[in-house]
Amino acid sequence: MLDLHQRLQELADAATRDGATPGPAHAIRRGRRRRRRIIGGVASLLLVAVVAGAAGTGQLGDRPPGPVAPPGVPSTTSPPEVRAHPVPAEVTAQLWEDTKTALGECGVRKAAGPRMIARGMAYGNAWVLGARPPQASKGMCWSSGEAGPGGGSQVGTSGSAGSPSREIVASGSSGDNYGSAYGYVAKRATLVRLVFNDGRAPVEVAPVQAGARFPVNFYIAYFPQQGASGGWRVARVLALDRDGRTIAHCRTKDTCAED
Amino acid sequence: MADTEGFEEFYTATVGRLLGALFPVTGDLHEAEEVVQEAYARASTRWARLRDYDVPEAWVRRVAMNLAADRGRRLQRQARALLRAGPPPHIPPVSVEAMALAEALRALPMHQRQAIVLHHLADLPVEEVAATLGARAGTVKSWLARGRRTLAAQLGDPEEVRS
Repeated sequence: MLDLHQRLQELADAATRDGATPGPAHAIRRGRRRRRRIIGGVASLLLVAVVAGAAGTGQLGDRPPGPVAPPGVPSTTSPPEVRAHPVPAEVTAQLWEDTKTALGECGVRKAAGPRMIARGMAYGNAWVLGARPPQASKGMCWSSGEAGPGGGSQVGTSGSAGSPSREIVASGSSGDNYGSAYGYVAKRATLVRLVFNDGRAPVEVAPVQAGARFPVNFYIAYFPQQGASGGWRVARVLALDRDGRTIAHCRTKDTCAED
Repeated sequence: MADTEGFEEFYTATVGRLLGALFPVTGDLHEAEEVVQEAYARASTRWARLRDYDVPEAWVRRVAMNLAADRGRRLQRQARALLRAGPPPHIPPVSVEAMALAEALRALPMHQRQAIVLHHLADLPVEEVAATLGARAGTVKSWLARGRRTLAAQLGDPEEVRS
Protein backbone atom coordinates (compact mmCIF):
# COMPACT_ATOMS: atom_id res chain seq x y z
CA MET A 1 0.00 0.00 0.00
CA LEU A 2 1.35 3.39 -0.95
CA ASP A 3 1.24 6.10 1.66
CA LEU A 4 0.70 9.04 -0.61
CA HIS A 5 0.50 11.72 2.03
CA GLN A 6 3.68 10.60 3.70
CA ARG A 7 5.71 10.59 0.51
CA LEU A 8 4.27 13.89 -0.64
CA GLN A 9 5.11 15.37 2.71
CA GLU A 10 8.66 14.18 2.36
CA LEU A 11 8.93 15.90 -1.01
CA ALA A 12 7.42 19.07 0.43
CA ASP A 13 9.75 19.01 3.41
CA ALA A 14 12.75 18.56 1.14
CA ALA A 15 11.65 21.50 -0.98
CA THR A 16 11.15 23.67 2.07
CA ARG A 17 14.48 22.60 3.48
CA ASP A 18 16.55 22.95 0.32
CA GLY A 19 14.58 25.55 -1.57
CA ALA A 20 15.80 29.11 -1.76
CA THR A 21 13.34 31.91 -2.06
CA PRO A 22 14.88 35.35 -2.10
CA GLY A 23 12.49 36.84 0.43
CA PRO A 24 9.55 39.21 0.61
CA ALA A 25 11.52 42.32 -0.35
CA HIS A 26 12.55 40.65 -3.58
CA ALA A 27 8.95 39.65 -4.27
CA ILE A 28 7.85 43.24 -3.75
CA ARG A 29 10.56 44.58 -6.07
CA ARG A 30 9.74 41.95 -8.63
CA GLY A 31 6.07 42.86 -8.43
CA ARG A 32 6.89 46.50 -9.03
CA ARG A 33 9.13 45.65 -11.95
CA ARG A 34 6.41 43.48 -13.39
CA ARG A 35 3.89 46.27 -13.12
CA ARG A 36 6.26 48.72 -14.78
CA ARG A 37 7.11 46.21 -17.49
CA ILE A 38 3.47 45.60 -18.22
CA ILE A 39 2.77 49.28 -18.39
CA GLY A 40 5.81 49.77 -20.55
CA GLY A 41 5.23 46.88 -22.85
CA VAL A 42 2.65 48.72 -24.82
CA ALA A 43 1.77 50.91 -27.69
CA SER A 44 -1.04 51.33 -30.08
CA LEU A 45 -1.94 51.12 -33.66
CA LEU A 46 -4.94 53.05 -32.63
CA LEU A 47 -2.49 55.78 -31.92
CA VAL A 48 -0.40 54.95 -34.91
CA ALA A 49 -3.33 56.13 -36.90
CA VAL A 50 -4.24 58.98 -34.60
CA VAL A 51 -0.84 60.09 -33.50
CA ALA A 52 0.94 59.59 -36.77
CA GLY A 53 -0.55 62.78 -38.08
CA ALA A 54 -0.31 64.70 -34.83
CA ALA A 55 3.01 63.69 -33.44
CA GLY A 56 4.82 62.02 -36.26
CA THR A 57 5.21 58.33 -36.81
CA GLY A 58 8.71 57.02 -37.32
CA GLN A 59 9.70 54.91 -40.21
CA LEU A 60 9.65 51.22 -39.88
CA GLY A 61 12.90 49.33 -39.91
CA ASP A 62 14.64 49.29 -43.22
CA ARG A 63 11.45 49.24 -45.20
CA PRO A 64 10.27 52.19 -47.20
CA PRO A 65 7.68 54.37 -45.51
CA GLY A 66 4.10 53.40 -46.07
CA PRO A 67 0.70 53.65 -44.52
CA VAL A 68 0.41 51.94 -41.19
CA ALA A 69 -3.17 50.91 -41.68
CA PRO A 70 -4.53 49.57 -44.94
CA PRO A 71 -6.65 52.20 -46.64
CA GLY A 72 -10.35 51.75 -46.47
CA VAL A 73 -10.29 49.77 -43.24
CA PRO A 74 -13.27 50.75 -41.13
CA SER A 75 -12.62 51.49 -37.51
CA THR A 76 -14.89 51.87 -34.55
CA THR A 77 -12.08 53.41 -32.60
CA SER A 78 -12.61 56.77 -31.07
CA PRO A 79 -9.50 58.82 -30.57
CA PRO A 80 -8.10 58.45 -27.07
CA GLU A 81 -6.82 61.27 -25.01
CA VAL A 82 -3.35 62.21 -26.18
CA ARG A 83 -1.26 64.61 -24.20
CA ALA A 84 1.49 66.35 -26.03
CA HIS A 85 4.70 66.06 -24.07
CA PRO A 86 7.66 66.06 -26.38
CA VAL A 87 10.04 63.21 -25.78
CA PRO A 88 13.68 64.13 -26.37
CA ALA A 89 15.30 62.41 -29.31
CA GLU A 90 17.95 60.86 -27.08
CA VAL A 91 15.22 59.25 -24.99
CA THR A 92 13.64 57.78 -28.09
CA ALA A 93 17.01 56.53 -29.27
CA GLN A 94 17.73 54.99 -25.90
CA LEU A 95 14.29 53.37 -25.93
CA TRP A 96 15.13 51.56 -29.13
CA GLU A 97 18.49 50.50 -27.73
CA ASP A 98 16.77 49.14 -24.64
CA THR A 99 14.19 47.38 -26.76
CA LYS A 100 16.91 45.79 -28.87
CA THR A 101 18.60 44.62 -25.70
CA ALA A 102 15.37 43.09 -24.47
CA LEU A 103 14.86 41.39 -27.80
CA GLY A 104 18.37 40.03 -27.63
CA GLU A 105 17.65 38.51 -24.25
CA CYS A 106 14.34 36.94 -25.13
CA GLY A 107 15.87 33.49 -25.06
CA VAL A 108 15.14 32.41 -28.61
CA ARG A 109 18.50 31.62 -30.05
CA LYS A 110 17.31 30.98 -33.56
CA ALA A 111 15.79 34.38 -34.12
CA ALA A 112 17.56 36.89 -36.33
CA GLY A 113 18.61 40.38 -35.32
CA PRO A 114 16.11 42.96 -34.08
CA ARG A 115 14.10 45.10 -36.45
CA MET A 116 11.98 48.07 -35.65
CA ILE A 117 8.40 47.44 -36.68
CA ALA A 118 6.86 50.75 -35.69
CA ARG A 119 7.27 53.65 -33.36
CA GLY A 120 5.25 56.62 -32.27
CA MET A 121 3.90 58.48 -29.28
CA ALA A 122 0.97 57.82 -26.98
CA TYR A 123 -0.18 59.39 -23.75
CA GLY A 124 2.87 61.58 -23.69
CA ASN A 125 5.29 58.71 -24.02
CA ALA A 126 7.38 57.46 -26.88
CA TRP A 127 6.79 53.86 -27.83
CA VAL A 128 8.45 51.40 -30.11
CA LEU A 129 7.50 47.99 -31.40
CA GLY A 130 10.33 45.71 -32.40
CA ALA A 131 10.79 42.07 -33.33
CA ARG A 132 13.34 39.49 -34.34
CA PRO A 133 12.30 37.40 -37.33
CA PRO A 134 12.56 33.62 -37.09
CA GLN A 135 15.40 31.82 -38.78
CA ALA A 136 14.81 28.42 -40.38
CA SER A 137 11.22 28.66 -39.18
CA LYS A 138 12.33 28.75 -35.58
CA GLY A 139 12.12 31.30 -32.85
CA MET A 140 10.60 34.75 -33.05
CA CYS A 141 10.67 37.52 -30.46
CA TRP A 142 8.67 40.69 -30.28
CA SER A 143 8.78 43.60 -27.86
CA SER A 144 7.11 46.83 -27.14
CA GLY A 145 8.87 49.54 -25.21
CA GLU A 146 7.84 52.86 -23.83
CA ALA A 147 9.65 55.86 -22.38
CA GLY A 148 8.45 59.14 -20.94
CA PRO A 149 10.05 62.55 -21.47
CA GLY A 150 12.38 61.94 -18.55
CA GLY A 151 13.65 58.64 -19.94
CA GLY A 152 13.50 55.31 -18.17
CA SER A 153 12.45 52.72 -20.72
CA GLN A 154 9.97 50.00 -19.88
CA VAL A 155 10.05 47.08 -22.27
CA GLY A 156 7.89 43.98 -22.48
CA THR A 157 9.08 41.02 -24.52
CA SER A 158 7.48 37.81 -25.78
CA GLY A 159 8.88 34.94 -27.77
CA SER A 160 7.92 31.78 -29.55
CA ALA A 161 10.21 28.77 -29.52
CA GLY A 162 9.30 27.86 -33.06
CA SER A 163 7.74 29.70 -35.91
CA PRO A 164 4.68 31.57 -34.62
CA SER A 165 2.11 28.88 -33.99
CA ARG A 166 -1.03 30.93 -33.59
CA GLU A 167 -3.04 33.21 -35.78
CA ILE A 168 -3.21 35.84 -33.10
CA VAL A 169 -1.65 36.43 -29.70
CA ALA A 170 -2.03 39.30 -27.31
CA SER A 171 -0.41 40.72 -24.27
CA GLY A 172 -0.45 44.18 -22.83
CA SER A 173 -0.70 46.38 -19.83
CA SER A 174 -3.05 48.08 -17.49
CA GLY A 175 -1.96 51.53 -16.36
CA ASP A 176 -3.59 54.26 -14.33
CA ASN A 177 -5.12 56.10 -17.24
CA TYR A 178 -4.63 53.83 -20.19
CA GLY A 179 -4.22 50.25 -21.15
CA SER A 180 -2.69 48.64 -24.16
CA ALA A 181 -2.46 45.47 -26.17
CA TYR A 182 0.05 44.19 -28.66
CA GLY A 183 1.01 40.97 -30.34
CA TYR A 184 1.22 39.29 -33.69
CA VAL A 185 -1.51 38.31 -36.09
CA ALA A 186 -1.72 36.23 -39.25
CA LYS A 187 -0.77 38.02 -42.43
CA ARG A 188 -4.20 37.46 -43.94
CA ALA A 189 -5.81 39.50 -41.17
CA THR A 190 -6.58 43.05 -42.12
CA LEU A 191 -8.09 44.10 -38.82
CA VAL A 192 -7.67 43.30 -35.16
CA ARG A 193 -10.59 43.88 -32.84
CA LEU A 194 -10.21 44.22 -29.08
CA VAL A 195 -13.32 43.30 -27.08
CA PHE A 196 -13.41 44.62 -23.54
CA ASN A 197 -14.83 43.17 -20.38
CA ASP A 198 -16.32 46.42 -19.14
CA GLY A 199 -18.95 46.84 -21.80
CA ARG A 200 -17.30 49.57 -23.81
CA ALA A 201 -17.31 49.54 -27.60
CA PRO A 202 -14.65 47.37 -29.22
CA VAL A 203 -11.49 48.96 -30.57
CA GLU A 204 -10.27 48.00 -34.01
CA VAL A 205 -6.79 48.51 -35.33
CA ALA A 206 -5.04 47.57 -38.53
CA PRO A 207 -1.99 45.32 -38.31
CA VAL A 208 1.41 46.83 -39.02
CA GLN A 209 2.87 45.20 -42.11
CA ALA A 210 6.05 43.58 -40.87
CA GLY A 211 7.65 42.66 -44.15
CA ALA A 212 8.64 39.45 -45.88
CA ARG A 213 11.06 38.26 -43.24
CA PHE A 214 8.22 37.81 -40.77
CA PRO A 215 5.56 35.12 -41.18
CA VAL A 216 3.10 37.35 -39.34
CA ASN A 217 2.25 40.99 -38.93
CA PHE A 218 2.03 42.89 -35.67
CA TYR A 219 -0.50 45.12 -34.01
CA ILE A 220 -0.49 47.45 -31.08
CA ALA A 221 -3.27 49.48 -29.49
CA TYR A 222 -3.78 51.91 -26.65
CA PHE A 223 -7.11 52.56 -25.01
CA PRO A 224 -8.14 54.85 -22.17
CA GLN A 225 -9.14 53.51 -18.80
CA GLN A 226 -9.51 54.77 -15.27
CA GLY A 227 -7.20 53.11 -12.77
CA ALA A 228 -5.11 49.98 -12.99
CA SER A 229 -6.86 48.12 -10.19
CA GLY A 230 -9.47 46.55 -12.43
CA GLY A 231 -6.79 44.74 -14.35
CA TRP A 232 -6.46 44.43 -18.07
CA ARG A 233 -9.82 45.24 -19.63
CA VAL A 234 -9.29 43.28 -22.82
CA ALA A 235 -11.39 40.13 -22.79
CA ARG A 236 -10.95 38.84 -26.33
CA VAL A 237 -8.90 39.68 -29.38
CA LEU A 238 -10.16 38.85 -32.86
CA ALA A 239 -8.44 38.80 -36.22
CA LEU A 240 -10.70 39.71 -39.12
CA ASP A 241 -10.12 39.30 -42.81
CA ARG A 242 -10.83 41.77 -45.59
CA ASP A 243 -14.48 40.75 -45.67
CA GLY A 244 -14.90 41.29 -41.95
CA ARG A 245 -14.99 37.60 -41.15
CA THR A 246 -13.34 36.41 -37.96
CA ILE A 247 -10.42 34.20 -38.91
CA ALA A 248 -8.99 33.75 -35.43
CA HIS A 249 -9.63 34.85 -31.91
CA CYS A 250 -8.27 34.31 -28.45
CA ARG A 251 -9.44 34.95 -24.94
CA THR A 252 -6.94 36.97 -22.99
CA LYS A 253 -7.78 34.93 -19.92
CA ASP A 254 -6.24 31.77 -21.23
CA THR A 255 -5.60 31.45 -24.94
CA CYS A 256 -3.84 34.59 -26.09
CA ALA A 257 -0.32 33.67 -25.02
CA GLU A 258 2.22 32.11 -27.30
CA ASP A 259 2.83 28.51 -26.30
CA MET B 1 -1.08 52.39 5.65
CA ALA B 2 1.62 51.28 3.21
CA ASP B 3 0.43 49.08 0.39
CA THR B 4 2.82 46.33 1.45
CA GLU B 5 2.25 46.51 5.19
CA GLY B 6 1.91 43.00 6.53
CA PHE B 7 3.16 41.43 3.32
CA GLU B 8 6.51 40.39 4.75
CA GLU B 9 4.88 38.58 7.64
CA PHE B 10 2.48 36.87 5.29
CA TYR B 11 5.30 35.86 2.99
CA THR B 12 7.44 34.50 5.78
CA ALA B 13 4.59 32.53 7.29
CA THR B 14 3.41 30.91 4.09
CA VAL B 15 6.26 30.65 1.57
CA GLY B 16 7.62 27.35 2.86
CA ARG B 17 4.22 25.71 2.72
CA LEU B 18 3.58 26.97 -0.79
CA LEU B 19 7.00 25.92 -2.03
CA GLY B 20 6.42 22.50 -0.53
CA ALA B 21 3.14 22.19 -2.40
CA LEU B 22 4.51 23.45 -5.71
CA PHE B 23 7.57 21.25 -5.86
CA PRO B 24 5.62 17.98 -6.29
CA VAL B 25 3.55 19.76 -8.95
CA THR B 26 6.45 21.10 -11.01
CA GLY B 27 8.81 18.21 -10.26
CA ASP B 28 11.69 20.66 -10.30
CA LEU B 29 12.72 22.66 -7.28
CA HIS B 30 14.06 25.61 -9.26
CA GLU B 31 10.87 25.74 -11.27
CA ALA B 32 8.83 25.65 -8.07
CA GLU B 33 10.90 28.48 -6.58
CA GLU B 34 10.37 30.57 -9.69
CA VAL B 35 6.64 29.96 -9.75
CA VAL B 36 6.26 30.69 -6.05
CA GLN B 37 8.27 33.88 -6.27
CA GLU B 38 6.26 35.09 -9.23
CA ALA B 39 3.02 34.35 -7.39
CA TYR B 40 4.18 36.37 -4.40
CA ALA B 41 5.34 39.17 -6.68
CA ARG B 42 1.85 39.35 -8.12
CA ALA B 43 0.37 39.19 -4.64
CA SER B 44 2.57 42.09 -3.55
CA THR B 45 1.09 44.37 -6.19
CA ARG B 46 -2.42 43.53 -4.98
CA TRP B 47 -1.63 43.28 -1.31
CA ALA B 48 -3.77 46.26 -0.31
CA ARG B 49 -6.77 44.22 -1.42
CA LEU B 50 -5.53 40.71 -0.68
CA ARG B 51 -4.71 41.37 2.95
CA ASP B 52 -8.41 41.75 3.62
CA TYR B 53 -9.12 38.28 2.31
CA ASP B 54 -9.92 35.58 4.82
CA VAL B 55 -7.17 33.41 3.40
CA PRO B 56 -4.78 35.36 1.17
CA GLU B 57 -2.69 32.23 0.91
CA ALA B 58 -5.45 30.60 -1.09
CA TRP B 59 -5.16 33.35 -3.71
CA VAL B 60 -1.38 32.97 -3.95
CA ARG B 61 -1.72 29.19 -4.13
CA ARG B 62 -4.24 29.46 -6.95
CA VAL B 63 -2.00 31.86 -8.89
CA ALA B 64 1.01 29.63 -8.33
CA MET B 65 -0.90 26.57 -9.52
CA ASN B 66 -2.00 28.42 -12.63
CA LEU B 67 1.54 29.59 -13.28
CA ALA B 68 2.85 26.08 -12.83
CA ALA B 69 0.34 24.76 -15.35
CA ASP B 70 1.13 27.55 -17.82
CA ARG B 71 4.86 27.09 -17.52
CA GLY B 72 4.52 23.34 -17.73
CA ARG B 73 2.63 23.60 -21.00
CA ARG B 74 5.05 26.13 -22.40
CA LEU B 75 8.13 24.16 -21.47
CA GLN B 76 6.65 20.97 -22.85
CA ARG B 77 5.84 22.55 -26.17
CA GLN B 78 9.13 24.38 -26.35
CA ALA B 79 10.95 21.13 -25.78
CA ARG B 80 8.93 19.51 -28.53
CA ALA B 81 9.47 22.42 -30.85
CA LEU B 82 13.17 22.51 -30.30
CA LEU B 83 13.46 18.73 -30.45
CA ARG B 84 15.72 18.61 -27.49
CA ALA B 85 15.37 17.56 -23.92
CA GLY B 86 15.69 20.11 -21.18
CA PRO B 87 18.09 19.78 -18.29
CA PRO B 88 17.25 17.13 -15.72
CA PRO B 89 14.93 18.37 -13.01
CA HIS B 90 16.48 19.63 -9.82
CA ILE B 91 15.28 17.42 -7.00
CA PRO B 92 16.59 17.79 -3.46
CA PRO B 93 17.83 14.69 -1.64
CA VAL B 94 14.90 12.50 -0.64
CA SER B 95 14.28 8.82 -0.05
CA VAL B 96 14.07 6.37 -2.91
CA GLU B 97 10.32 6.12 -2.35
CA ALA B 98 9.78 9.85 -2.46
CA MET B 99 11.99 10.12 -5.55
CA ALA B 100 9.90 7.48 -7.23
CA LEU B 101 6.76 9.39 -6.36
CA ALA B 102 8.25 12.59 -7.79
CA GLU B 103 8.97 10.82 -11.05
CA ALA B 104 5.55 9.20 -11.14
CA LEU B 105 3.89 12.55 -10.52
CA ARG B 106 5.73 14.06 -13.47
CA ALA B 107 4.07 11.49 -15.70
CA LEU B 108 0.59 12.58 -14.64
CA PRO B 109 -1.35 15.24 -16.49
CA MET B 110 -0.91 18.57 -14.75
CA HIS B 111 -4.46 18.84 -13.43
CA GLN B 112 -4.30 15.37 -11.91
CA ARG B 113 -0.97 16.22 -10.33
CA GLN B 114 -2.33 19.45 -8.92
CA ALA B 115 -5.44 17.77 -7.56
CA ILE B 116 -3.37 15.04 -5.90
CA VAL B 117 -1.07 17.55 -4.23
CA LEU B 118 -3.80 19.89 -3.09
CA HIS B 119 -5.96 17.10 -1.71
CA HIS B 120 -3.40 14.69 -0.33
CA LEU B 121 -0.67 17.08 0.75
CA ALA B 122 -2.37 20.40 1.44
CA ASP B 123 -5.36 18.50 2.85
CA LEU B 124 -7.84 20.66 0.99
CA PRO B 125 -11.33 19.21 0.65
CA VAL B 126 -12.44 18.35 -2.86
CA GLU B 127 -14.60 21.45 -3.08
CA GLU B 128 -11.67 23.69 -2.26
CA VAL B 129 -9.44 21.88 -4.71
CA ALA B 130 -12.13 22.46 -7.31
CA ALA B 131 -12.25 26.16 -6.48
CA THR B 132 -8.47 26.44 -6.65
CA LEU B 133 -8.26 24.73 -10.02
CA GLY B 134 -11.39 26.26 -11.49
CA ALA B 135 -13.06 22.89 -12.00
CA ARG B 136 -16.18 21.15 -10.75
CA ALA B 137 -16.00 18.93 -7.71
CA GLY B 138 -17.00 15.88 -9.74
CA THR B 139 -14.20 16.55 -12.17
CA VAL B 140 -11.71 16.83 -9.36
CA LYS B 141 -12.91 13.53 -7.91
CA SER B 142 -12.35 11.94 -11.28
CA TRP B 143 -8.85 13.45 -11.54
CA LEU B 144 -8.01 12.20 -8.07
CA ALA B 145 -9.22 8.69 -8.80
CA ARG B 146 -7.36 8.47 -12.10
CA GLY B 147 -4.25 10.02 -10.64
CA ARG B 148 -4.17 7.61 -7.73
CA ARG B 149 -4.70 4.66 -10.03
CA THR B 150 -1.85 5.75 -12.28
CA LEU B 151 0.46 6.39 -9.36
CA ALA B 152 -0.30 3.02 -7.83
CA ALA B 153 0.45 1.31 -11.10
CA GLN B 154 3.63 3.31 -11.67
CA LEU B 155 4.86 2.69 -8.15
CA GLY B 156 4.29 -1.00 -8.30
CA ASP B 157 1.23 -1.18 -6.13
CA PRO B 158 -1.71 -1.86 -8.38
CA GLU B 159 -3.96 -2.56 -5.47
CA GLU B 160 -4.38 0.64 -3.70
CA VAL B 161 -3.03 4.02 -2.81
CA ARG B 162 -3.61 5.04 0.73
CA SER B 163 -4.40 8.70 1.13
